[in-house]
Amino acid sequence: MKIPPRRSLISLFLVWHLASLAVAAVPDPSELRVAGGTRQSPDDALSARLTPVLDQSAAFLQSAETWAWRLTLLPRRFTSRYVERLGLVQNWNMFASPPLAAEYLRMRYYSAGGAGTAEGPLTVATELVFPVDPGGQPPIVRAFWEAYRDKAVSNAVKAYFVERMRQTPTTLSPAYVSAAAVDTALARSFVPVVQFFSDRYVQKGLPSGEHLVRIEAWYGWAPSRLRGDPPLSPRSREAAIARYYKGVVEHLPTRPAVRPVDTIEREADIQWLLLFVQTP
Amino acid sequence: MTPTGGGLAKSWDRFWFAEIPPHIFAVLRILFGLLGCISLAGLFDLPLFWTCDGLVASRDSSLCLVLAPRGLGWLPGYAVCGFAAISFIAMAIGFRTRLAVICAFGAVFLMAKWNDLPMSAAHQVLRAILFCLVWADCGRVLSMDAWLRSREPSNEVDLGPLPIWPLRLIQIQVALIYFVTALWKLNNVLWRDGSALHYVFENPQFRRFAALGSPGLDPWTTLATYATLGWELAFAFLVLHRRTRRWALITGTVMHLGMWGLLELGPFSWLMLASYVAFLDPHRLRDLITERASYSWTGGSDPLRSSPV
Repeated sequence: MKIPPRRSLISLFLVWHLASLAVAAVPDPSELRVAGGTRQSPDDALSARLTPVLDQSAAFLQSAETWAWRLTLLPRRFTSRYVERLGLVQNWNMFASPPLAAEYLRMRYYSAGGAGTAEGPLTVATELVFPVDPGGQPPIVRAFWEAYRDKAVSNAVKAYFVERMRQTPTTLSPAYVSAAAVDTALARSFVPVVQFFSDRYVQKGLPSGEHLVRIEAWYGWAPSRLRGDPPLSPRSREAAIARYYKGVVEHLPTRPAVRPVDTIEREADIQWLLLFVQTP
Repeated sequence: MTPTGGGLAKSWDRFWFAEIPPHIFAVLRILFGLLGCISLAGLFDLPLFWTCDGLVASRDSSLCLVLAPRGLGWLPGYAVCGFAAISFIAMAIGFRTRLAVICAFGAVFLMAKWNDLPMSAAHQVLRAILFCLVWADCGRVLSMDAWLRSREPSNEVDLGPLPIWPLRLIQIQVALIYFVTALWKLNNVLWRDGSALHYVFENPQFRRFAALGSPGLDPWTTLATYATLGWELAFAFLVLHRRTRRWALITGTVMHLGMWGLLELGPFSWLMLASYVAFLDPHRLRDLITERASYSWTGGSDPLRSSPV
């Protein structure tokens, strides 16, 4: 059978393209380990039967995946550039690690008048910037719109944690996180989020005659109910969150302004973790 | 047929280069053009997503650092947004179609380059499918191009068949999406113990109704978790066979409509549903389009019934 040259060329492209996609679909074993998660909820009748079977399948999958990763190391050198340049990465891990908690992000702005600094008399304002909606049921169209802003913040927070995970334990110290190195690593993810909300506060909320001396980004985490447990009825959480949705919360600082990254605050059942500090 | 070199070459040739009516590519083009517009509509808060002082990944790019102080911080983002809007609209209506599809693919690329912060898996699906459509002549029918050509007395409208391989690429891409996502899920302990959807429904960021977090629904969320995992694992295999393909697509449609009804996932569900068109029989789809008036669901023109896979 004689194949026309054009078809031969297309065939070569198809083989190359499909091989590239197949190689790109094999995830890094370390990413898979991180996405493995830990068991949270007790079994129910159905899961008690199926979980052991699926655990066995997963063990087989993980060993096969490690083998596939090693096998594709060499071709990956050639295919990864093609796949990445065209944006055809195959990391289809949607909901592969379901969120175990309600997540929040709040910004805290410290401002001072005149030539004041973070050590002088300060005005402190806190603003919840994520999620847009307090957890009600907005109409479909509004929810569709709000989801994009929430996705932007959520992606930035994820990038922050990925960056911290990427570092070796020796550089996981708060000193590292507040260093310029992390600003560079997060220059296209978390830093723009902090800048956007702080700029917006300066334009719309900053008391006149004052200037920002410190900006903090706090990640909030409130655990979800375990399967089979009664409702948490987190009234206190709802009240705490509702307070933020009424607008920017202003208060006088009761603690020293200069707190290190990784400081934890508690509010109802929400744990707030200080992720990031910027001093304009 | 013996698996000789010639036999394999013939099978390869038949699988990738069989000729099909152009209507299926036209339908895919229209759907993905419209879904591109819908995806863009979600980003239509122009100051927020498209200006240098917005919630934008490129805030500190050299382009913004140069333009923003001159009051032109809106220029690059608006240019990308406008280019994307024009490309998706031109693609949907089939105007300068080949160029429009290439531009739409380029626009999706530029959108992510400008601001990948609000991008999700939906954007990734759109890009993957557009890449496949770039290789097909999607404007031969159901397009403004075809209509304009038909008005010129010298030109006859070309309704001739097209090679199937871009359609095969879409089919393989969609099957790969399901298979890869299923393996990722199988890797996660919450999917294996059936509690994954319980946690998704507990999360106010995704669910449409607070009632989804009710303890009374826990057994059902376990069942739904396993059903989702099983269906995603099976999808790539079910669409291989004519008999099972129909049920895979019907189940998929129900699943995606259910996801859309219960969760806020942007245009993801609609993009996946649109991609199912690639699994319809191109000949029957052409019949459905050209003979719509006489079409009957009980007749032999059901495009789900068979396909040349």
